[in-house]
Amino acid sequence: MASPSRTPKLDLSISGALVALSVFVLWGTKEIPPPFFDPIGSAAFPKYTAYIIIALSLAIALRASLALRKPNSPRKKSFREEPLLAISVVITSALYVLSMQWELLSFRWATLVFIFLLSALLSKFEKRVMIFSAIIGIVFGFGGQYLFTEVFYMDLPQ
Amino acid sequence: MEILNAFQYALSPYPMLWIFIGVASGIFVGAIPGLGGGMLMALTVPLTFSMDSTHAILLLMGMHVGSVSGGLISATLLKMPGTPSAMMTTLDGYPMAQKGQPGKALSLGIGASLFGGIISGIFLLALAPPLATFAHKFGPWEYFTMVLMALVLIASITQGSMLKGLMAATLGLLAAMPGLNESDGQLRLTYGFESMDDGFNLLPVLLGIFVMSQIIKDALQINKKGVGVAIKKGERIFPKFREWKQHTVNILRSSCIGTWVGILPGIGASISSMVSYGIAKTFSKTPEKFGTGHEEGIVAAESANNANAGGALIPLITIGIPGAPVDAILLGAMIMHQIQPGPLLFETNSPLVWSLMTGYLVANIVMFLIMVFSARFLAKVVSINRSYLIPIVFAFCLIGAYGPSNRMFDVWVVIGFGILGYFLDRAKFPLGPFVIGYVLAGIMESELRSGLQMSEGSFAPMITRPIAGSFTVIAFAFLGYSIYQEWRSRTRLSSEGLSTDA
Repeated sequence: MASPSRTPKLDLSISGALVALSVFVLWGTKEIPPPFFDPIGSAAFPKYTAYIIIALSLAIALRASLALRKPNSPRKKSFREEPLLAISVVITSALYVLSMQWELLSFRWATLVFIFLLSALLSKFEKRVMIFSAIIGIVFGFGGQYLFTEVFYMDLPQ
Repeated sequence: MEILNAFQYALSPYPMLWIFIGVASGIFVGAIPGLGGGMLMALTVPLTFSMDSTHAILLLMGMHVGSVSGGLISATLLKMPGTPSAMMTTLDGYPMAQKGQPGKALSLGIGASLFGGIISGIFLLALAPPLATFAHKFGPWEYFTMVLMALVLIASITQGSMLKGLMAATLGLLAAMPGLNESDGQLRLTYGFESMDDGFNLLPVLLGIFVMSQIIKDALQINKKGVGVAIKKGERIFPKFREWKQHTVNILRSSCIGTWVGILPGIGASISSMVSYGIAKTFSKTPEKFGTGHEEGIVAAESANNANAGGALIPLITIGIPGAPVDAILLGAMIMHQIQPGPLLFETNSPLVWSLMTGYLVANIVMFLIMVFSARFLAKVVSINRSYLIPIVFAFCLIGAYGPSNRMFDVWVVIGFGILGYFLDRAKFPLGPFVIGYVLAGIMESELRSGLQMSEGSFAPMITRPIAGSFTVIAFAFLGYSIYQEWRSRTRLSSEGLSTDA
């Protein structure tokens, strides 16, 4: 079950971010009025949770810094990772959401463009995938709009 | 009598249709590496709002049963478990397939899955009613300490570091804090944003943690491909009675382990299959064959992971505590359908509970039939190009998050929690405890506050009340034991390091 940290640098970064988040939560709890009918009130639970997160973050950071001191041979992966693709998935998804939030596109057109674009990116513009993804985009964009609004009675961005 | 009526209901056309759709889609998704039952269920929940609540729950439960079983196919043919619970199956399934017996490996796994599911279903029918009666004795302190125990248990037993397990559970608790507090109607941690008044809703959080994080991971690992083994034409997939008979003890033992681990709150099927695989190896006459394509290994892993699904339904139905992370989605779906799982459910909605339990048994039989007759087709599906899947899955996420509330804020919550989930997963923080922590935060806080009101601010009932005291002792004992284990393991590793250096 137990093992030394295999991702010490990431652990340190996450611990730091979580301590900052906890401080932000503790600052937020100051706005909560004191309890008026029960002993602990609404601020207590987030406060306790934030304190526990700080304590655990420090323990994880300590463990990670101990692991950093030891020479660690990186494990070789059997495949090449594509961090740029992962980032592009997040960015494309965010643009897809924004296009509808700012009412630039309706669900059907935004979905069509999104499916085509992201499939093309992920397949590194492979011609066959692009053709199929265009078809899928049309079917999902227009068919999906009909299915979800008319059959499942859900509102989608118009 | 209720059980017979429930069977009659579960076998009638409409429930049967939903179980069939659920199991078939679960197997399909479970077979594709990178997708999973949790993902499918989270995406389906919003589509069930217009459905009859019993049908909706049967559909989701069918998906759960199907996805646990579907993972077997890619684990055996690609050495890539379709779901994490099929991880142990790869150890013997793939080597057996490589030896030219993929059909036999699948038939053993499918048969073991059926028996695991049926045995845990019997436990479910036998244990749930008395446990629900027992749970009537629970007051606020019992519920609070039980949730505490569940969180400690899942954080300690989960794979990897206990510290990270605890951190994930605590982060889950924190994620549930913002917004309107139901105990006193107080707004908190909204930082002046109106969108935050409702807090982070269950569905977007689940979609983010289960689906979006997986999408990011899939894009990162898009070059990861398994080395496939094909099923030969005419090769038998239907399990033989002789094979089952030979593995009776292993099936019974692994199914009992799977069910028991499932009953323990918050622990998923991966742990069940790991524990039963290890025990099967210990009791085997040929332990050296494990990992080389041994029948016993496949049977142990598959019967345990399917049995886990039934075991995990027991705490969910009787006390409203999810037995596994995926059950948190089932719990969420029940709440959204105005069904409150817990001891009162047997009184307030008895037909639903019995239909759910008998439906679970029917779902396992349906799973067996679909798996046997579609394994050849599914073997071709497992290597589907993820360039098509990722955009479609995100579009489903958007529909699932936006549809129920018509708020784009919820879609941003999906993306935000997806990024958080991805980084946590990357740093080996288990996501299961996060989801369980998030789902149980509300009960934990409201029960603690009710308890403190009753005891006038004293925490003593955590120890003085017999049931609550037992839960507290178990929670702290587990915590102490896990810390000891972690310390011992570190000491052993550092002494091994020293001796290697010397």
